[in-house]
Amino acid sequence: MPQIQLTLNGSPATVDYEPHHRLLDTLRYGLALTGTKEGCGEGECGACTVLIDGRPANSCLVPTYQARGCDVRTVESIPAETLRPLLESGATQCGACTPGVVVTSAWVRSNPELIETHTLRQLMAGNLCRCTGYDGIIDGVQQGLDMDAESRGAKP
Amino acid sequence: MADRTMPSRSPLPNRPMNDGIAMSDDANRLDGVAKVTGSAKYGRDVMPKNGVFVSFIRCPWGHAQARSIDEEAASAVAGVLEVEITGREGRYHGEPIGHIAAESLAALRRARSALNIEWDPEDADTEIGSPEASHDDDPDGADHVLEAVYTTPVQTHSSLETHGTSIDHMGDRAIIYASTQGTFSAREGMDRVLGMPQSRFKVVCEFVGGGFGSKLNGAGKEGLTAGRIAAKYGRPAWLFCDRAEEHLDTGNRPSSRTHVRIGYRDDGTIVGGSVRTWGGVGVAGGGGGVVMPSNRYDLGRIRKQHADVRFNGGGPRAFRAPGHPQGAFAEELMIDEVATATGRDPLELRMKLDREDERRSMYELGARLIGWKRRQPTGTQASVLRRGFGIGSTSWNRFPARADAEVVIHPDASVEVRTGSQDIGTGQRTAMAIVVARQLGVPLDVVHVSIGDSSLPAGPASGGSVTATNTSLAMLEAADNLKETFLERIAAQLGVVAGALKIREGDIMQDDRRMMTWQEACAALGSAVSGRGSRSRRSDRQYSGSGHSMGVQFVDLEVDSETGVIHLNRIVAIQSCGRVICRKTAESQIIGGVIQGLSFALFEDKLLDRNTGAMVNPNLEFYRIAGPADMPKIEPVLWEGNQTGIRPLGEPPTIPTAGAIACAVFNAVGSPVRDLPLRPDRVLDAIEGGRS
Amino acid sequence: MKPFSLARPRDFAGAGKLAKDRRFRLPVIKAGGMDVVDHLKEGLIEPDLLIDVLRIDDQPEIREADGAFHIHANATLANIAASRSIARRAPVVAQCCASAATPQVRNVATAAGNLLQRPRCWYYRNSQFDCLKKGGHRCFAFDGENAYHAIFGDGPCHIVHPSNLAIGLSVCNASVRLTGSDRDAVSLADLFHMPDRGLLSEHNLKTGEVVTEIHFEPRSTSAFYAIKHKQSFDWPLVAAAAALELDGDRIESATVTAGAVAPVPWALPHVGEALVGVSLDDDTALRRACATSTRDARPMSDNEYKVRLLPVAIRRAILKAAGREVMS
Repeated sequence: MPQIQLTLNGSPATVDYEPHHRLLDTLRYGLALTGTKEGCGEGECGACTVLIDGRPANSCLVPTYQARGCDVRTVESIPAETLRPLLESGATQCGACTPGVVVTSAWVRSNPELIETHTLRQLMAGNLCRCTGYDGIIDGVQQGLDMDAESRGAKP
Repeated sequence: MADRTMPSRSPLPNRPMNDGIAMSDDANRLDGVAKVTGSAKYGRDVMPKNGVFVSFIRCPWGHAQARSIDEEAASAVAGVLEVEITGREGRYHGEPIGHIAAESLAALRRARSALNIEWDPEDADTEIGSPEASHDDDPDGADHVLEAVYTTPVQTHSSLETHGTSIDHMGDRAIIYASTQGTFSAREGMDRVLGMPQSRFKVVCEFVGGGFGSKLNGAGKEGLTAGRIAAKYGRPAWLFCDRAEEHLDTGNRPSSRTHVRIGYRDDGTIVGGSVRTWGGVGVAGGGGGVVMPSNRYDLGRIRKQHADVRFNGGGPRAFRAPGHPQGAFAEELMIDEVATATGRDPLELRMKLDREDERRSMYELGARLIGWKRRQPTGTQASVLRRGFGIGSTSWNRFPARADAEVVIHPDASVEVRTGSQDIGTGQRTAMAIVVARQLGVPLDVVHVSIGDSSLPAGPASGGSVTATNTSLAMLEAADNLKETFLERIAAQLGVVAGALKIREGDIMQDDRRMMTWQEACAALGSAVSGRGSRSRRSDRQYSGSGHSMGVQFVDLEVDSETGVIHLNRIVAIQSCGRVICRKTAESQIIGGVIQGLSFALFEDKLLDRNTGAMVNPNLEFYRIAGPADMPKIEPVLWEGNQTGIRPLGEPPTIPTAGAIACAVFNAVGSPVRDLPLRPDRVLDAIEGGRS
Repeated sequence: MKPFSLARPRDFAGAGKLAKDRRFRLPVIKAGGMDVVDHLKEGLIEPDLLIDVLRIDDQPEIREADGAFHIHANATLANIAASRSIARRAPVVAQCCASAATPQVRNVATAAGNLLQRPRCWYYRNSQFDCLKKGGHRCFAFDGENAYHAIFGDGPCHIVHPSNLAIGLSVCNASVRLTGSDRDAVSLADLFHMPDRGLLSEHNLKTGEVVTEIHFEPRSTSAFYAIKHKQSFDWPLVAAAAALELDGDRIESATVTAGAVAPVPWALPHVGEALVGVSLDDDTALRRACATSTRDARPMSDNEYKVRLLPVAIRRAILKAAGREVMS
């Protein structure tokens, strides 16, 4: 089996992979990181979103080898304590889209300047949800941004 | 339910009707942490070591015969365990004609391509068509007659987690990880294919990625096929659909055609007539019913006939309020057409036609919240953006279903709620914890829920909005039984009479004196104590309450009259469901019902190629489901009405949305669009002179 | 999926050489992979060599020189959309990139990959349909489901070109720079061809030619307007790009290209001519000029609505370019 080296969820990793596996397959089947979901397999629903070098991408459209040398972060690496707002806003129902939503929201929260030029709904447009109606998702991301801004303001 | 401990609550902002009706206003979904951190394990996530991967071989055309299949070549692909062809005829795109089992997903793909099937396509019917309606004579007493045909397309459930089953086969026993709405029904037939008694295997579905009715079909062909392979090789097996298969072969909301010929008077009174409906059921034998008329409105004497129409498509399955949204679309738009023709305000006409006084109060509130007075008469606007307002109504009865429950107090002071029912995203897990916490009188954070496991007390399949309504009765009884036993044992320890003790926020109280803390009491038990309950006539009498759920929805939208594109501004959804258990999950259910209704109204359409019967959009690219930027502001209002006890909530909020949107579009542009989805081209046709 | 070899050349010239290597039956060049991976998954192509050019970063993604923009072939749509300089001096290009797909796709999809992606025709994308683009003998859209197909061109294939970026670039006098052959560059207008000039690809690149850069000129008064059924991730029903030169409210010159209406980005020079001299305050004249866009339209059974949408999209692109309210 071929191998790649990458930074996975913050730690250097050497990963074996099947040659035809998409990054999604390698994460789920090879590494048992099943937080990343497969919703459509065609880059339309965003359930498989991971951060590659800090930016959200559909892991179903990325061949595993393409992640060589990249910084890949999956939902498993997003600190749970930062997710309080999504919990409280009702951003989940069945939860199958939620990991992708969480990863995209983590990107928005680490790049708050994005909301100067985009609406939250535009930034979240790559994540389809069949249950919640998105209001809880959008509210949760907004509250997360507010929380981040507050804690930044609180620092000396 | 018997409510003895309801504290008074301060009024919530913007929710005048909601004051204190929820058992919990602030509880979060108990499984929220597992879901946001990705640790929640769905069936699809369970890939047991040494597992066999299975997939179906499917017909790619609307109707075709497989002339040649190279089974040998496919079987020879490295890693392939077996190729089995079970038939040569495919009657719809996606119909299985066999399966492949292999060591990996990659081997499955290679084998599928090696099959090199040569198909002889045959003629395929792709839609209901325009069956002729033989209508009666004009109804008596009518000044006018409205004759109109309303159609809706096939809508697929499009759950984010696809259908499938993962089986951990351990020789003489097995665990079935199914993505199902029925933990118990998913066992059906499994004993046969596994060659094991039901005592040797169980179904586990702790997390289910959506279902909406499509996962009510027992073990399903996915489960049974995986089961056969698991048994044959004595190994775990995994079979999950991909997105295309999900669209093609896991059920749908059938298409509908509603032909009305209805008489009305100059004052808008509807005096009856005939309603002919057809449901497009694909190759299935039935299931295409259209609930029109709904019986919510007084429409005079209606003669109703229905027929299912077969064509070369996958069959329907229950889909969130089966038959209702398509019927409500026709009914609401029909009423608005009568209102417009007679110069009546649609709100005023509904106040007259609606049979329920309680809904009349809902209309009044909804009209105020949406700003109905800003509505302009239909067809009077000439601006580029045209504002439209619309209304729809809904109702849902409570259906009884079998449910058992057990509640256990452990010596470490934790409380375990045990139900084999499943939480498909509705919030069942959270709701049952809240019900038990309140009934016992303990804080929510000591309560833990064991759910989605067929070795737990039986619960109903999640269809018909029966899960919470019925399981909660069993829970209430179990909690009361448990409390009695628990307090008896504590009373014996304290040397007091059991009747003298109460539990308040976990504290064991005699009169107003705390006798023991929760921890002390549980520790004093020495061993776990449990109580059981079930939904029965007795628990029904004691806890169930009365009345049926009802609601109204109001839509405010704008139509871009140059492009036909619809922009939704707001939807106000007023919904009664008796005693609300958990405000957050209840509101989420309402919003979720609305989103599926609006997605049905604006976007969704399973489109079969007219020549070959192949679905041209088996994806989420051209099978459009509403995304974040398509959503209006949805304002759920939990209505405290005449209902008591826990009433159904899952289905009713999705019924009125499409009709209300269609009415609002009619209001904006002046001509009705009688076909869903409300595509830009259809809206433009309506604007340009009723070409729709 | 059949096994294939993977090559990661250090530069585009190396990629071009590999693409011409006769030891391989079907070498395929891949950058972000958004379209190539989809093709592999659907079994639409079975390459024996995948040439991955994604890591080639021999130039900055976006630079300005000699009064023009130079975009690296691997610049992502997200970075083009986010460039303040492009947003200011060639807003049409920034807008068409921002309008494409989803944030997730824009973060990975590259400029050259977007230009050279294959059409989204649902018959082409289904490997079962042996359509003209796959060497078959008929266009299934012709008498089938053609709501999203072309209203211009005489076939025999009726796809619409999928690239948003190409539409925007086409009003900015754009060209692509090439390596791997005797020509250095080809204008965007010459990059694509109609189906009657070849069905198996949409572009005019020869085997071994690789796009290295995209050049375009600033057009500060320009805009992209897409009419979409769904507002979160959807392909345009009709799109338009417009670049103007204004004298006050009067249009001195206009370049207009339509998208999602033809197998190539559909340049509409006669609309540009009709717009000359029109005052933006004279809406009747503006609408009349825009209406000339549908002169040669030949809609199919299910896409007549595009004929109605096209003048609307063009007019709105013009008003947007001029900084005016489009819904007036």
